[in-house]
Amino acid sequence: MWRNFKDSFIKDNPVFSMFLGLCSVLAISTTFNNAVGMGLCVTIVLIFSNVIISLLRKLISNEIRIPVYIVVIASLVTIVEMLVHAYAPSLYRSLGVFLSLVVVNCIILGRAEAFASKNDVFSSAADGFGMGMAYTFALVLISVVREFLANGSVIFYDPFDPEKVIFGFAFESLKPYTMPLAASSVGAFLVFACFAAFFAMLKNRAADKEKEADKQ
Amino acid sequence: MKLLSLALAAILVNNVVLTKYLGLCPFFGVSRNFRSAIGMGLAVTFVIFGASLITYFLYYLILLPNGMEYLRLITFILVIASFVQLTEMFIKKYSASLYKTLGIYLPLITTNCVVLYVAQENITMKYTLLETCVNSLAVPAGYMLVLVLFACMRERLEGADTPRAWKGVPIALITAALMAMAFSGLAGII
Amino acid sequence: MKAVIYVVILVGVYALAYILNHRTKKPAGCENLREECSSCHIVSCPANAVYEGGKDRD
Repeated sequence: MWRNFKDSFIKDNPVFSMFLGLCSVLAISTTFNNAVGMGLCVTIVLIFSNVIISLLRKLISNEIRIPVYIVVIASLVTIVEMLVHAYAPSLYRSLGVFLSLVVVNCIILGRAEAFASKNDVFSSAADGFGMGMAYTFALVLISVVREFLANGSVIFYDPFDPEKVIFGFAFESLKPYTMPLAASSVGAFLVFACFAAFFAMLKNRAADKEKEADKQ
Repeated sequence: MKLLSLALAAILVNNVVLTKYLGLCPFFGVSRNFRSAIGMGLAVTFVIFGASLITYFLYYLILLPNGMEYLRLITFILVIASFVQLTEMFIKKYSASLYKTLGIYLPLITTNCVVLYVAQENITMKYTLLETCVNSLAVPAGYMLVLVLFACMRERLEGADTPRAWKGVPIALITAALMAMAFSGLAGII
Repeated sequence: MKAVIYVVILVGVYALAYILNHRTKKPAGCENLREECSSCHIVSCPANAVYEGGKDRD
């Protein structure tokens, strides 16, 4: 199970290898703060939706399973959205419409259909947590690169109190060399393309190694 | 005049794919050839127009007067999903040729980010009915424009000699980045 | 109370539309239409080449 966890981070990362949930990844990864906030929201929704759908899996007939999934996920996202709006309003403002778009995030619906409808509650919860963490990992990776390139610094604010800085590092000497391009859409596509190619290379290498081992 | 600038802004300046990163899954999947791109574009336009009108009326006639704004997301997603199902059923019954071109894309549109985005924007930007109609037609028109352009480029890309790690999505993303750069030059016209 | 009734009506409409759509047969000649999309690996996406239509559910 640990191997599965490790695999879903690097080899089968849902964002870099399977290209799920791309819309939110490219839009949210402008700053580290947004990335962590969004990643946590998606993880929470993923865990709860996996658990609920796994609990209901014997009761849902095959014909109406998609409507049921959609209703469950929509309710969860509404609840999470209201909680974020109440307790972390600055995060709510920066995430904007993308918090609502978590409803149609391919990862959540995909995992519900592929995993939670066929496995018991505990493994579904673990799978939700793993996939959510892999998504957050990808998001954080991209956002660190983009924020660093665009601002010359990476700063993490406390989501509940936007003035307090939890940690951050800044290189003042790099300020004249920053590339605001990285924060715009062009930069998003470029940075993501490089990451996607890097992870594809890792995946190809692992597949080649397996082929070599099979041949011998 | 304001409507025209609204439409132009939605199509060119704030293009939903290139500046707002929405609707990317079909963008990389369906735009492999020209005909599927056109089919997908038309299907998306129809669904967005119909679904945003219905959600607009539902929001202002039922949700707001009864103080149920928190049900907005659930309403939107259920309306979009029902609309897609009903559309697919009607196309199946009444037009086989239309089903051949558009039918396969319809189930995908339910989870397309663009549809939900347009529905939400019409409410958050407090558009009037006419502005809603224009917005709901202009945004998918911009989407179709980019989809078709991308399809044409991708047909050429298939034959090119890309390195192994870059094949498929990474090189498509680089192409998208170049397109975004080109479109960002239009940002000054509004 | 109103909200619950409202949501139930919406869900009912959606379930009805879904079931009606499922029961409507595809027009002749369209049985095996497949869009061979393989850009992402969402196994449950109907456009993916490896989609099995929920066959292996118990």
